Amino acid sequence: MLVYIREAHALDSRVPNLQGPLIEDPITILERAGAATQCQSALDLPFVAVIDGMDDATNRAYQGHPDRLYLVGKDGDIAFAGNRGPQGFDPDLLEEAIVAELKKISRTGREYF
Amino acid sequence: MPSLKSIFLLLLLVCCFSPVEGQQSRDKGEAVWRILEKYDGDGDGVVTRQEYPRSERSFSSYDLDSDLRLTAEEIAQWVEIRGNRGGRRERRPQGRQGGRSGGRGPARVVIALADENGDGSVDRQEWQRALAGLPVLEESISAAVLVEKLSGGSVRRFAEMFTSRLDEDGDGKILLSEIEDLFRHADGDGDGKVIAVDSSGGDRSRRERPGFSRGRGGEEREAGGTPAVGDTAPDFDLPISGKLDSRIRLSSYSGDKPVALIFGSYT
Repeated sequence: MLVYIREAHALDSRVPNLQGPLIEDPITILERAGAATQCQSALDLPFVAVIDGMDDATNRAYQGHPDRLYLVGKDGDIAFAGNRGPQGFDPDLLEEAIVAELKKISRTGREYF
Repeated sequence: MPSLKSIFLLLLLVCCFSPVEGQQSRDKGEAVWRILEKYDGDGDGVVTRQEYPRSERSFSSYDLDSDLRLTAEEIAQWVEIRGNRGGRRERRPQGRQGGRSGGRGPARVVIALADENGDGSVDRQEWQRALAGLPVLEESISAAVLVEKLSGGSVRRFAEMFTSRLDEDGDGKILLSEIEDLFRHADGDGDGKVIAVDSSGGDRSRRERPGFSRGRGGEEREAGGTPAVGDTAPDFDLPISGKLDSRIRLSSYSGDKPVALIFGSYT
């Protein structure tokens, strides 16, 4: 799932990205939700997105800003923790972790393959 | 339905940029002004600080001349400046120069040159002491000297390769400014400290360090920092995009199925 957190390059930030979507830093949960909807729609994301609160609590708990990947195992533990993006944003490593996790699960009874 | 990989590529594409120029700059200026113009309550073509509902910091970020008034012309100028200078760091061309602008190379070099106490990290003070100890001649140091300093035995090949990238004109000299810049390149999060980077997830040095602990999976994590492999995933209960009255609690999946979490934003 996408955890939609505070903007990385909002227009009114120190590091606006004028080549990307032009969005001011949301100041309400509705604005952030609106940006998330725009993002999901423009990128045609086929998975669910949840909206981090304006206290950025989930972002802080995972150090998710500006972007980062995790896999939470079936047991509720972190199975993969990606590096900080964008340099450390590596979907291939996440994919490997997903495959390994699903193999582990299939060995222990539940069939995913 | 698009594949996960194509979605990730799309996400990365929105991160790419090139300088804003000419017509493109004018178009962007107009687009940004359209966003700000909605705050122009009295329709006089000026957005004042009083009309702007967001923070002082946000307003100041646009207000180039600090007159507490934003106009279309000022925003066009703002785009010109931000588009060519602000925003993300410019991507370096691939090739000889590409190797020193990111990745683990700069961090390895900084650690190799300046990690006095062998704790796998270098702060600015250590870095300054290391720079002061380099044999500088006419604002350069010898490439051969740099290779020797970096080598330390097993990493000689890396040292030679990295040094040759710095020595773009092949004259055997490396500008001191190039060396000084390495710290900035290596300090990805700008916290004034460079640590060795491991590719298997999470930032970590080779040894356990003060202020760091290891997760149950043996992965090192910064105290109070990122969750590491083996840690219990911090729980959250957040509204779902598109239907804010519905929520998802991460722990509700525990014992049922794994969950991939993609942290990010549209910008």
